[in-house]
Amino acid sequence: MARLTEPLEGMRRHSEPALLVLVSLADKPRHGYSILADIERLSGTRLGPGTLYGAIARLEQRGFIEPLESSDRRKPYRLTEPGERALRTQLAAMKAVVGEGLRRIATA
Amino acid sequence: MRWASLLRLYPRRWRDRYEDEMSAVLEEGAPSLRDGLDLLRGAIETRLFAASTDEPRHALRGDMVGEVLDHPVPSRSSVVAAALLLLLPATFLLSVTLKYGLGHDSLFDSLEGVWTFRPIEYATVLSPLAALTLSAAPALRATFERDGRSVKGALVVRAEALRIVVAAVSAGMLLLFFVYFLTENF
Repeated sequence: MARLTEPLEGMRRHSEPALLVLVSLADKPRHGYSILADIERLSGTRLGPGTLYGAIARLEQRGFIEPLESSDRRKPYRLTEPGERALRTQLAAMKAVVGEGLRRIATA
Repeated sequence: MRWASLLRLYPRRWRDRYEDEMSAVLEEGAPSLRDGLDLLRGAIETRLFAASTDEPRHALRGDMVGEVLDHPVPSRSSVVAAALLLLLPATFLLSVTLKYGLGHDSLFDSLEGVWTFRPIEYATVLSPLAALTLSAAPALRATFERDGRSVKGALVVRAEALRIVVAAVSAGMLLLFFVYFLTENF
């Protein structure tokens, strides 16, 4: 099984924001403010703009997301195939840990 | 305060790529002090650890590739600042060498009042240390990973020639001052 942090390894403090960005882009492309609002809605976490773009830059650098052409300043991003694979791997690892944690709590 | 002005603290290449988007995000929301501090931290982090948008110029083998991708070549501003810091100790060493090595005392003597002024004296000795830190720190990335009972470590260095030269000169000056201190005091 993949280690919990393997797909986003090396991102350090950016790994959690990066995961949230990947999740936010999983269903459709979004631009910066829309990603922030979506992340706040789905996780209750309010990312700062510096943290958001720190994560976006690292994800883009790894080829996990890519910008779409836009005439607007608000450039939308979409998940790439490697990004989708990384997200699936990460979520599967987290799901296994969550499942095991819940099972242990239930039997404690 | 207009928080967007903090975007000017980011490196030029970063701003070319992300400034418009980040400005749009700030305009759409109601940025708070927390957002301002987040921008400040992002700018410092981007400069110090060079999370630039550059493609990596070199790729190393195996496990190191991930680290290299996460550690692009740092921007030049810190090494330029480091080089400027070396001007003061370089002038001191040049004047000392001219006077005591070659017998030309005019430069040293004309600046004698400068060299004996205590703050300048401290700055002359500490400048190479600051320059070494400024030139070397952004180029280094140490990583450690626990694997069972052992700890694996890697030191990734990504630096242009200029950064290496400034770091080497700074280290050389520090060594000279250290030797001078030892010979004068022991």
